[in-house]
Amino acid sequence: MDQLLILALDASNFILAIILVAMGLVIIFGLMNVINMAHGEFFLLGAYTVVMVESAGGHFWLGLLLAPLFVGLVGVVLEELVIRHVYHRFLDTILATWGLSIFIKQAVVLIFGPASLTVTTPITATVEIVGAPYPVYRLFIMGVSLAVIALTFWLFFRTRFGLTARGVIANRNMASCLGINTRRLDRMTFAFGAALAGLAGAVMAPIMSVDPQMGLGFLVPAFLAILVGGAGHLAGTLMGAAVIGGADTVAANLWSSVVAQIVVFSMAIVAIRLFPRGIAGAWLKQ
Amino acid sequence: MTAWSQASLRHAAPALAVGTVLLLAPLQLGGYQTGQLAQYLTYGIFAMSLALVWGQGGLLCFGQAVFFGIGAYAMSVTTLDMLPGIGTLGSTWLGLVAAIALPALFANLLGRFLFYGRGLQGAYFGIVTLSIAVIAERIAVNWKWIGGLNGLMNVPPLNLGLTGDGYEIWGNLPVYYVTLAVAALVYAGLQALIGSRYGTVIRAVRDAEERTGYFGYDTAGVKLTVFTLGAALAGLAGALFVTQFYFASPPLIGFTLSTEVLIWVALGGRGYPLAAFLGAILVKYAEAKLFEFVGAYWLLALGALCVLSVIWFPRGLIGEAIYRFEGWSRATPEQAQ
Amino acid sequence: MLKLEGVTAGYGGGQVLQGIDLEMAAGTVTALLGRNGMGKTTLMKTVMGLLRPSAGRILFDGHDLAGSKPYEIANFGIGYVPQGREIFPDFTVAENLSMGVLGKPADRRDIPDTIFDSYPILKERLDQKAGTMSGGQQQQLAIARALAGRPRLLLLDEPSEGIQPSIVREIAAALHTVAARDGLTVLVVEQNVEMVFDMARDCAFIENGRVAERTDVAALRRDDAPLHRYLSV
Repeated sequence: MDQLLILALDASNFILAIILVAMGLVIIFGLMNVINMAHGEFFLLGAYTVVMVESAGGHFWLGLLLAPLFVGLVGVVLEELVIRHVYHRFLDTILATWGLSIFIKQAVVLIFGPASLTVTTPITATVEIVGAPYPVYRLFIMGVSLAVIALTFWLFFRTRFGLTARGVIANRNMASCLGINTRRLDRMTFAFGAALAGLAGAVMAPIMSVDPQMGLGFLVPAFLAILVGGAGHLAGTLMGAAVIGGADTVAANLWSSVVAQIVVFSMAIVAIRLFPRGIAGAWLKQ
Repeated sequence: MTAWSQASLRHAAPALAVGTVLLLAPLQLGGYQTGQLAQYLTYGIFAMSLALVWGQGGLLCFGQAVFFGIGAYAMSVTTLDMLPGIGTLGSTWLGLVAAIALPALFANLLGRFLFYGRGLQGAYFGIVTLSIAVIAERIAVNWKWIGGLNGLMNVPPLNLGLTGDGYEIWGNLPVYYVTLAVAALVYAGLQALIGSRYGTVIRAVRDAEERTGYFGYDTAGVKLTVFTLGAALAGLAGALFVTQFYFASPPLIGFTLSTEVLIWVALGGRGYPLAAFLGAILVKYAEAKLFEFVGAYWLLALGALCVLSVIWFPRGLIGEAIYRFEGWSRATPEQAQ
Repeated sequence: MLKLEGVTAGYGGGQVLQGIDLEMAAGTVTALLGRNGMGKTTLMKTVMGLLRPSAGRILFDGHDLAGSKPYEIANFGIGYVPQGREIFPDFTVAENLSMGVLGKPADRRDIPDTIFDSYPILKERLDQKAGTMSGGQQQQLAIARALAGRPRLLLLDEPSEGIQPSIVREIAAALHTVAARDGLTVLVVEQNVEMVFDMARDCAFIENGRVAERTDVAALRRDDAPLHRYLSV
């Protein structure tokens, strides 16, 4: 029972981090019809922002604050330099962002080296949960993630910006004909999605090994979460992340991380076949 | 010479030129370099398989190396006599059959899940194949039977005998020319497919799947066929590679090689098998020449080149050249008369 | 106010518009008539920037719109009600109306009250999902959404399509009033001759991608030969 609670906490941790990455992906996809293969590298850049700040003598918290800003800025630049030239050619956006991901990853290797680095854990305290010590920082990660998820939902469903964005998602041409500057919205959305991934990378950095390959480890589950949940809804992303992250944590705990990946992937493939519009799509249809 | 045969000669000119150069290349190259080039030829065949799946079929596959790797491992396991029940057969031929059939089977099975779900569009395909590449590599690393992280060593070369006791294709020159012959056959087969009526259907599905469906074509079936065929070719390339390299290891099946082949084909040109083939050879050649000078900057440059080529030369660098040549050769025959 | 000079445009290879010349004075309501496939909708889309003209100029108050993006054109003061309405079905009526003003400068982001004078039904249904309303109500919403952005020129593409006749008259009458009150210039594509008679003053007949004949409604009432010639009714 106690074991189960700890497992649930670990699963929640992973799920929330996946959501941060997947939300950015799904917003960018929904608005711009761009599958951002470089999203894992935005996560990566977030983590390395903290590394940079710490090596310059700054504190972790400063890094955590700067990470979304810096990665968001990178997003703006890349949108301007690359994405906007290809976004009407669907397959080419995948390829272009793929090229970007190789570029960013290799740039990180060149600057920081291929080895894995560590980031100091800013909160070392533990709390007693069902008799076992549990790191407070993991609870902090969950808190930050929940807050950011709530903020994103508020932004998209309660603000003028959100209404505009949802209008563009629903009917880009019509929104443009009503005077909505779709260019600016694209740029802002891409930056926002990038910032979310950057924040996720920064907040997760203390509990994982920071290396140039770390982005892929989050990109794949985030993608699978979107596949399973359905790309049409932010709520679907949450459900998909819960399914993928939950199954992964449980299977990894029962067997091994390789088996977990196989199980999760097979599940995702079957889910795609059964619910082509995602579980959220299947749910909301009824 | 009639105008028609003149036109078709012009059409085939780039391929004939490349073929001639490759045929004569060993005269200029040393033995080691010829062996290297033979390996690049297998990469070239691999690239052509992706050109079929992606360029013709519109299926941007991020896990093409999975099929290459399955082919490589299937060949190795068979010729190393590791298969239980069939003893010390060691047959190259059986290995080739396995290396072609197994990837095809896997792709076909996978395709049945991916192409028949309604509403599952191109968006998901890249993601799923990317995930497979990541997972396949991890499976290979963790699977003791196929050598785990160390892989399988001492894979025998191609052997013409039925049970592995016949004439061995050994040495740089024979290996090179056998591989070149296979590459030429694959190229000719692909060109025939592309030029056929079915080739037109494949491109119709790529460009306007829904409309093609209205005409009564089973568009999912077409995609499944293309994907399966591409996997079979990738498997063949993997099998040839491992008989030259004598060593099958997890990097052959995974994420990094899948990325590399995408870059070769993107830079070469997805629309023409010849462009993809050359893309693989030239990128590999440049890498061998330049890597010692530029080191880690090589991959950085490849990533940047990939992005730039997508923006400015969506047909690829060689593909753009072939496209212009075709336009020019179509325009000139009238003037020649 | 709007002047098209030799506008050529189309989709992919084929040119649907083959040199359109059309001039409209401020405050007039002009109907664009012609058979299907003659380029009426293409013309609307080209003015709106959804299609890029391959030749010619589109002058709006002296500005050349050719090559501008739809949102820039909208913010020059052109409102657009497309064929099929294209309201946002999952949004409420209020949200749909907001979409009409969200892209505008900050001082014009409120929805003018006069909208609800012309379309009182919308005020009653502000919180209803637009997709659940009747076709006629959706059409009124689409027009109101365009008017909310305070355009000087309104482009209407087949406002009567798929709507029952009594509502068509109502819509035509309301539009007529609004146009007269606000001095709005309107270009309307319409197959429904009744509606044209109800609201338009000028007519332009389009055939094979060119403006074949200009006339006005008064003349058309006396002699409907052009209707037979260009619409085969």
